[in-house]
Amino acid sequence: MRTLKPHRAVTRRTVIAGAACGLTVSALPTLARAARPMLLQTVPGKPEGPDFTLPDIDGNDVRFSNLKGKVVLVNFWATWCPPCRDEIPSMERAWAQLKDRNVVMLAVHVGGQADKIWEFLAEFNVTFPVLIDKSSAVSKAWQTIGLPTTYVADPEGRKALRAIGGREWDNSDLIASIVALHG
Amino acid sequence: MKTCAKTSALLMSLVATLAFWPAMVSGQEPAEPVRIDRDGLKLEMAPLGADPARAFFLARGFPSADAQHAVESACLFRSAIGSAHTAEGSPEVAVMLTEWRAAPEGGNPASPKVREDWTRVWQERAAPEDAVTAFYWALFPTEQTFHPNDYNWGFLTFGFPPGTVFDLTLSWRNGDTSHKTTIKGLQCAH
Repeated sequence: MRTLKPHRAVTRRTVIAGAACGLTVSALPTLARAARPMLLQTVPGKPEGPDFTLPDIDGNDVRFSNLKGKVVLVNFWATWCPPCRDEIPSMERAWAQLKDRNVVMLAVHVGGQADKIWEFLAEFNVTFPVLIDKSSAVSKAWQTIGLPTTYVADPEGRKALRAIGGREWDNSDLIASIVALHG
Repeated sequence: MKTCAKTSALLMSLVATLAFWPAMVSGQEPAEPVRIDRDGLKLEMAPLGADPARAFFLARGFPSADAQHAVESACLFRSAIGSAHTAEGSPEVAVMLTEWRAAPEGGNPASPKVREDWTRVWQERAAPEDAVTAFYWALFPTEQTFHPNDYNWGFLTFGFPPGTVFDLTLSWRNGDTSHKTTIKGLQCAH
């Protein structure tokens, strides 16, 4: 079990960056990015986030319970999910603002197809940690119903906030509500 | 008003996304979506043609025989469904696909073919696990409750042969109130 180092560069991404391919969202209307909803819902009762250990894209195990003391944003997504693809760039921008504020972002890919994940991450220049939930058992344990779904866990590991559907994650109100979980 | 406009534009843009998505694989023009916006519900749906559907299944790792089976039997529609509410404290909007009824011309009404139905299909066909997992998550959830600004996307499947014309009666709950409407003359893509 390694200690998570969210700032770590992912060299393999860089290696294959030039070879990235697949669908892009560049053909979408500008409206798609300008008109996102901004709210996060409070999770009733703030239940404990089910512990999990999942491999990241380099094969290193990451355990959720090892991250207590940090605010953890857990985003369930897939490369072939259009709104997931659409929100990833704003997540990367949010990560730039959050990574030095005791916040961890974990993008949990639902299903396997590691090669497609690599291509996608290179295409979008993603630097936050991406984990692979091959059987989707963890996604279901977290009561994820559709993609994308995002939970924000407080420093005690409780599911405090939730979003069903994509968000513009670098919105200042969203950033503030995430950081506020530190109390 | 500003937030409401944002949410409205969101669903429109999401269906635009969905409309482009498989078509971008096949080069086909996307079909015009059906839109509903009333009593707390926003819905958009459009049929998915055979070629983009086949491309989707093959790209997820289904063998060609399984992809062809789905193309011939699924009657796929891409969809985006969510809450029309934007303000905190607004009612929850609940959708249960098994309460919907699709009535083909001259046939008996049936509920959409949902995740659980497809799980059985793929088990019988011994389809690859990764592909089955991907398709499970690509389908619109069987039951979903939306809070303000929540939405979801995914395929709706009706289990009819290509070209079937049908009326779809869909129902939902807006807080404690039940609602129902019928979309007439939907057609599975050829």
